[in-house]
Amino acid sequence: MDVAVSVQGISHAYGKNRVLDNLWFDVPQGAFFTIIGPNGSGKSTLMRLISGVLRYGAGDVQLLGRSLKSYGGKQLAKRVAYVPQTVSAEFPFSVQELVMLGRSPHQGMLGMNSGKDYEIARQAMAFTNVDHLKERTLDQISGGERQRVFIARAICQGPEIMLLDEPASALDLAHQVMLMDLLDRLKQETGITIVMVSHDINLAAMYSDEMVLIAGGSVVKKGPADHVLDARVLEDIFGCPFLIDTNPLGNVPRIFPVPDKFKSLI
Amino acid sequence: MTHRSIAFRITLVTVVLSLFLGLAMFLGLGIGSTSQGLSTVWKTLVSPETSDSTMTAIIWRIRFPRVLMAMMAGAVLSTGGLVFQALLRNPLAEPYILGVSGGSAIGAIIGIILGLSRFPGVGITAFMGSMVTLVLVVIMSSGRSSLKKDSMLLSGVVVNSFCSAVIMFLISLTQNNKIHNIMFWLMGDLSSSDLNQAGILAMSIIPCFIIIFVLSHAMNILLMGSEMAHSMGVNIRVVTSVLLITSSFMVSATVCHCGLMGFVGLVVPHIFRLALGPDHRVLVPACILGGGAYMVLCDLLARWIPRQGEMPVGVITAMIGAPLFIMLLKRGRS
Repeated sequence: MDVAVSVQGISHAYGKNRVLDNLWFDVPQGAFFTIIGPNGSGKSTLMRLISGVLRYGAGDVQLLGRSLKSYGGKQLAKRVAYVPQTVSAEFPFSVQELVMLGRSPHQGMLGMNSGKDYEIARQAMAFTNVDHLKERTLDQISGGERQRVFIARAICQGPEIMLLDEPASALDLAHQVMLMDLLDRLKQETGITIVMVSHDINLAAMYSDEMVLIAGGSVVKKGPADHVLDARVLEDIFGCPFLIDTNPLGNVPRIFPVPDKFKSLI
Repeated sequence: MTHRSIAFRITLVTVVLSLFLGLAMFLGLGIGSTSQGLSTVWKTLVSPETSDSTMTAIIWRIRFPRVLMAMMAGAVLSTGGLVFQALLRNPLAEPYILGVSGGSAIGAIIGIILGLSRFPGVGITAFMGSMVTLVLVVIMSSGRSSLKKDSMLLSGVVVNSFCSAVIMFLISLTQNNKIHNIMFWLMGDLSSSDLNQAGILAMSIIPCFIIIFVLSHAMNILLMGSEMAHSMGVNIRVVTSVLLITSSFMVSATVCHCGLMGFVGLVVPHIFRLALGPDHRVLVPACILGGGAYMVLCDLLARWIPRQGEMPVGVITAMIGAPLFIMLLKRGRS
C-alpha cells in the first residue's frame, strides 16, 4: 500500500524544551489514522509540523512521496487540507463565503470564482449537510455545524490528505459521532486519507484503521486499535490504571480509566 | 448577496461610490466662505472661460487642492484602518488609535526641525516614525491570543501618549519658526494644501492602493487565523509584512502632508463592513472611494460650522469617531 504521510525522524523543541524526539511512522494512503497520547506528548506540535505550519529542523516529513519542504504553498494546499481545533469568527463571513475560501489555492490572487468553483462548493456543502445554512454567519450556527462547515471548506481544497486537530473535542456525544461518521464517509467515498489528533481514545478506536500512540515525544505503539490499546502500556504513559474490554458494537477494544474509589475492585 | 459574482459586486460598489465621491467633491468645491449658489459653481466648473475669474480662481486654486487632499487623506486612513483591522483581527485597530499616526508625526516633526525638505526628507522621517511605533505595538500585543485584543488597545494607548509627550517635548525644545503652525497641524490641517503637494501625495499612495487591492483576498483568508491561512497556501510572513509596510507608508505620507486625523479608519471600514459584508475585495475599493468622500464632507463641516475662520478637520473626525469607538468597544465586551 502507498504511503500518504511518512514521518522520518523528526524532532522539535520550543527553546530548550524538547517536545518531539526522533519520531518515525508511516500513514498508509486512504487510511483513517489517529494520533493519540497524553497532554503535552507533542500531538499538536506533530500535527503542526506535518501541516507545514511549523518548520522542522532534523529529519523529514514526506507527503505523497515528496518532501514537505519541496512543496510550494499553494501546491501543498491543493493536496493537503488542515482543520484546526478552533477558528476565530471575528468577522462575519457567511457559510458559503467561508466554504468558497477553500477554493483559493486553485485560484489567482484575487480569488475570482468560476462556475466550477461554485459547483464544487455546493457539492461540499451538500456532502457535509450544511447547504441549508449557507446564508448564515458563523456566530449564527452551532459548534457541530461550524466544524462541518470547516470540513466542507477543507473538501473544497480538493485534498488527498486531510489533517484534523481534535475536531470533535468541543462537541456533545451525538455530534461527535455525526462528525466522525462524516469523516468516515469522506474516506470511503473519496479515498482521502484522514489523519487526526484525538483525546477520545474510544471514539478514535471505533473509526481508525490505524493508530499511533506517542508519549514523551516518541512513538510508543503503532498499528490497529487492538494492538495499540494495551492496559499496561497506557497505565505507564497516562499514570492511571485502565480496564480494557470489547466494545459491544463490534470487535474493537474499549478502555476505562479507573478512578481511585474503584481501585480496590481491580 | 452571495449569489452575485464577486466581480459584479466590486463593479457595483465602485460605480455607486464613485458617484457619491463625485457629489461630495462637487459640494466641497461649491461651499465655502464666499457663498454662491451651487448652479454658479457648476457653471464655473463646466465652462471656466465664460465665468467670473475670481470665482474660477477660488474654486480651482484654493478649494480644489484642498478637496483633493481631503479625499486622499480619507482614502488612505480608511484603507489603512481596514488593513490593520484585518491583520490584527480586531475591528478596533486604526492608525491613530494604534499610535502609527502619532509615530509618523514625531518623525515628521524631527524632519522639520532638522530642516529637511518636505519631500522626500520629512516623508522618510515620518515613515520611519510610523514603522517604529507599529513594531512596538505589534511586539507589545503579540503573545497569548486571549489577551491580544485588550493588550493591543492598551499598547496603542501607551504608545500614543508617549508620542504626544515626545511631540510636546520637541515643540518646547525648539525655537524654530517653521513649526509655528504645528498645533493646528496636529489636529489635521488641510488649509495649506496646494496642487503640487497633492500631486506628490497621489503618486505615493496610488501604488499602495494597488498593492492592497491585489492582496485583498489574502486578507480574507488571513481572517481565518494564521494556521488555516498557511494551510491554504498563503505566505503569511510575506503578505503581512508587505501589507504593514505599505499601509504605514501611505499613512505616514498622509500625516506629513495633512497632520493627525483620528478615528477615520475606524468609522469608514465599520460602516462598509455592516453594509457590504466582510469581503476585502469589496471593502478595499469601498474604503478608498467612500473614505475619500467621508473626509471631503468632514472638511466641508470644518469649514462651514465656525462663524469665523475654520476648525481643524481632526476635530470633526474625532467627534464623530470617538463615540462610535466606545460603542464598538462596549458591544465587543458584552
